[in-house]
Amino acid sequence: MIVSPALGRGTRAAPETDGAAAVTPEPVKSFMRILSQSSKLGNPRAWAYIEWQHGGSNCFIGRRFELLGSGLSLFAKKLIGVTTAVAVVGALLGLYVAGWATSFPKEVSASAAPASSAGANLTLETVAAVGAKYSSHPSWVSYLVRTGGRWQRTTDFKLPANSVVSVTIYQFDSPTGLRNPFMSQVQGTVGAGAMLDGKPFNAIPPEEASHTFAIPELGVFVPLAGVPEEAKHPCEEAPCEPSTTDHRTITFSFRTGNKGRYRWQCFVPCAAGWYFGNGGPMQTLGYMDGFIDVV
Amino acid sequence: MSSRSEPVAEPNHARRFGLIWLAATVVATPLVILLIGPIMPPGKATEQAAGQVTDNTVLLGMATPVLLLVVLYLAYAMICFRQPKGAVLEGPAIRGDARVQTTWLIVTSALVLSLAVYGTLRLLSDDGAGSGSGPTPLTTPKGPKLPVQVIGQQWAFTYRYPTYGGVEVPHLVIPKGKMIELHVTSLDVIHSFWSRQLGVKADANPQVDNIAFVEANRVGAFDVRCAELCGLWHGEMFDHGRVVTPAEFETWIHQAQVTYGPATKALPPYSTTYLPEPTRRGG
Repeated sequence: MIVSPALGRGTRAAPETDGAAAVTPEPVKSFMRILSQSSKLGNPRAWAYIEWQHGGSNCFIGRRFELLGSGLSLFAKKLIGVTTAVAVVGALLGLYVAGWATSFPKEVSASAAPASSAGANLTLETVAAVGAKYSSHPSWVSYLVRTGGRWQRTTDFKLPANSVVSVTIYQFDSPTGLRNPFMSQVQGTVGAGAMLDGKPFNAIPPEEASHTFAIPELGVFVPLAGVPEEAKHPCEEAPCEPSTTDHRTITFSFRTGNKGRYRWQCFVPCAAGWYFGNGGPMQTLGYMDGFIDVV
Repeated sequence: MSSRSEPVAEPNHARRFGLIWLAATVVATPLVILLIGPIMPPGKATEQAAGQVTDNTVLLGMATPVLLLVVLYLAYAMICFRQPKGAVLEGPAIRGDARVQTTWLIVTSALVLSLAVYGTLRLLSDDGAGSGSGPTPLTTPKGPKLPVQVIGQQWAFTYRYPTYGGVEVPHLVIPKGKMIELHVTSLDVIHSFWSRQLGVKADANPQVDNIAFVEANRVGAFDVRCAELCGLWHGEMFDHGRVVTPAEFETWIHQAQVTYGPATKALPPYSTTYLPEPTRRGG
């Protein structure tokens, strides 16, 4: 007898417990009867006998499946099942997390500078609220970059190596104040200074800072002065256009140096509503932090 | 094939294994100390780092006999207690052995307690073994010290020199051969100032002045990393510092006072801690 009713309850096949040969090829007629019976019982041996039905070259596979199906204890089968399930769920979770963690905004290349000056131009704006058009977090503070004549929310920039990058930042947010006044001084730029609304400066009062543009590894720190609270035409939500709303314009240049990936960030705790202003957009790529790929 | 009805004359495994272990320990421990000890981290760039090399070597020396005990016994058991091919045998029943258990308890307790005493004594040394010793260290090194404040913030360390007009700089520079008194604090969340080459690691907590001492005995560069998970850019919160000669240090610090003059004017008066302001965001 090959199939025992006990198989359906997850116990070993009778022939095995008896020490007899576990697998014996049988004529197809006989097999069909057994298959039907064992399927009703949920017998894993059914797979083995499907192979036997084809006979000949598939016999080995059938035998192997037979051994896998009946040679394991119930505990081992459960263990394999649970392990497989955990592995599958873990893999799915891992894929989800990996997908989420790598779903950064698209990288934007800086526009080429005029032929007269080697390097690149980077035009950015900082807004108090990024708006529903750009993010599922419309109230978050954010940087935007000008590319193709439009504002785009990304903080991943590609810049040429060993070149001078001219940066223009239209700053539409009001002041928050620096946590560390040390960042109120312009550092690491070409000429050790910058321009604020067309006037040169090398430091601002720390309490007037709205944001900073800083690349710590390159030693670049530029404070961005805020739009006064009493501004008549503030921009509440992105995209903000310099031609229609009150803003500050900051321009400066810095050298990129060697190829590599550099992070940049804002050092002002500007995340409204978050603990000490450093959560949310300050802790999420694509808003107040990002990478600069120097290629 | 042997069976339970035919007892086999077993050698005295305990004595035999004990001798093997003793011989291996006598040979291996000095070798490990002599060969691996000198290359133990974190190197000898500072007095504190050199002390940690000694500490790690002591640990290694004490761990070697334990490691040998485990590994050799595993090998011994695999060789001598291997089941004969084709046999299905059960080994003799193992009962508790008071001598073995007592010896094990005494030896392991002695090892752990002696290391605890050793570690405590090292931490009570004048320089605190390079660790953060809190705002009021139990002991402090004798002689003049150069105070340097380490300020952690998301996500960079900056450094302030109170005896040089309170100038703040983005990279740490210290003179060789001078005891440095590091005052480690934070402006926001918990960070940890860690320089492997300097042999210094001290938590940077907001509102806390955590003091650590370090004295460099050779010029060169060193790394600084944050060793406390502190947010998005924690993994990027690293920096490079330099140990320079005292003359170079004087030149550098005076240049820094000029370079960072505008920022220094904006800084609050030097304090061992700072309030994490502003806590609001303008509007």
